[in-house]
Amino acid sequence: MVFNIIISIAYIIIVAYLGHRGWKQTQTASDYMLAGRKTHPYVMAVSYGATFISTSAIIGFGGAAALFGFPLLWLAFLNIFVGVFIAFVFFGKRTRRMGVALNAHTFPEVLGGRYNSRFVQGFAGIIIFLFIPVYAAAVLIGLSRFAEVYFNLPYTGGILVFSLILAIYVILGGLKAVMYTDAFQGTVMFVMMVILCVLTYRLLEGIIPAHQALTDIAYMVPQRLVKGGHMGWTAGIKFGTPLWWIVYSTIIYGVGIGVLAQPQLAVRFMTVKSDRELNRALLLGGIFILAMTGIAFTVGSLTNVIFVQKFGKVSVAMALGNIDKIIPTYVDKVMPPWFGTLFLVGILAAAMSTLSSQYHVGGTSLGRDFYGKALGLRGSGEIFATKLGVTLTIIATVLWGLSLPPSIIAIATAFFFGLCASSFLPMYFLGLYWKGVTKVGAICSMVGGFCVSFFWLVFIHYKESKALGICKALFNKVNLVAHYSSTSWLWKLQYVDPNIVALPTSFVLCIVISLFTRKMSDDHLKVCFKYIK
Amino acid sequence: MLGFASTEMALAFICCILAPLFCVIYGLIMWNKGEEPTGEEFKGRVEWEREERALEEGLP
Repeated sequence: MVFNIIISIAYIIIVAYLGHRGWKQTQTASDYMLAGRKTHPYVMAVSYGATFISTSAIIGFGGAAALFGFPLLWLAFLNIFVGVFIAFVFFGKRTRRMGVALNAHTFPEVLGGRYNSRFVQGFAGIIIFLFIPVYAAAVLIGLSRFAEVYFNLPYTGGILVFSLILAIYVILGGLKAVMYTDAFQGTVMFVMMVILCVLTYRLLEGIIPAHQALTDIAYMVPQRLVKGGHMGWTAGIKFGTPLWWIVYSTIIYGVGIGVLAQPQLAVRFMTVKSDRELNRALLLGGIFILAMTGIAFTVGSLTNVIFVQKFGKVSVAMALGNIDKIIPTYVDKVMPPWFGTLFLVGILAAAMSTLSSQYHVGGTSLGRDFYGKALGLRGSGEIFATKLGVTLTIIATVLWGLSLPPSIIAIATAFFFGLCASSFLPMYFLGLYWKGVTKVGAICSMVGGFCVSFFWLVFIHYKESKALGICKALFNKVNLVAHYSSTSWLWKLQYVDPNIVALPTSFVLCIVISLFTRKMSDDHLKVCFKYIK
Repeated sequence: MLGFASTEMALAFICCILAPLFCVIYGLIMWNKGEEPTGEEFKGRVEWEREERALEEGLP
């Protein structure tokens, strides 16, 4: 344990030093030089990937894959095709140009600038500030669950210790010059995941034998899951069952599409100097994400067969029902001790690279977007509000981390991704491509998508409606559809993700209202699209 | 197929391999496409970098 602590501290010092060096370089360079400086495609691709992928994907969704099996590979596919290819080619290039044209530095600022609306920027800023701690907590929980399993560190202690370490990292300047530190951290993550993949397939004597071995133990799927629609880890989930809706609508669709409207990823595009850099970064970006989510979900599924062979129990039973502990338990019980140290450093890298961008976005959303722009209080107070925003985001992350229940990482991540998609994706995407979107159309889309999403969470969706208890207090029902027959489609609605309803609603509102309301002025549109040919 | 019990799972596995390959091919074909900003756009970029630096200075 002492050795692991020394390694962890040494790692954090190296990352902080790299960040400080990068920051110093930008300090001494002229604006002109910075504008012309090219980013290496490797740095762009890996730093984007490291921000995108965190302990949430490796530990949280890896654990979900251990429960649901290989259907989660559809999410890995969307992470690559939508999260990298579509994001870089169809969102990145235009976001970069529009960001420069509007001199925008945050995601809400791009939206606010595009629609010339303080309300849009402020509303987007406050939504992000309020809810990004839920996602950040999912990342922190992943780290703390590993420490709980691997070092026997109590969960609460883990949350507090890692938060303190991350706060020190922030104070040391960890939010500055993140591109290069993230590229370094991404490299560590990549090495760790490739080794994890090779060791796992070697244990099972090859790729096809490994899959076949998992196929052969399908009869060991817990009965509770079989009743929900689980047909076996390599067979998939029965269409239309509650489990199918949870996996395909919340985990695959919600997270797979939601990535396109992630504020901490969208800002990355604006730091890129040319379309050429994005084209080149694509080459490595897809491989990097395959090595992250593809491997995490594959290994997650295969842990079942290894646990059965070694301990006679499937993964969820090994982790005592908490799916967030499956990957940590696998590393602890099955992987060689030296890999545990590498894994610790790798997930520290995964957590730090994502959390630093989440803290950053939380701070600027409050300081720059809400306080500075929406309230019109620009000036020195904006810097204070940004620092306050970072501090409050860290505190809120700790509080969420302490209060969220077990097996929550994937759900908490899907919640934030879904909320961002339903609130921002239509106005963001259409705003990049269609000059006909109006300010009113954009506002209705954002507020409408957000409200529909929240209504669904509070009154329909099984998990949140039960946890919040508002529906119970108002109507004396867990949710508005749970009392219907379990064979009816109305009853199944409680398992349908809010995004299935909210995202199309948001798109329709954006398009229809824009057709009937006053267009944005030609002069403003010329500014927005001046670098887009 | 490939040890999976369903074609859907095998397809998901294959798509996961093909998607990054597609990204690699796209990256290679487009390697030199997408010109560097010049003229007014470059001036805009300089302005953007100035503001970005000020924003970073304001972070903890």
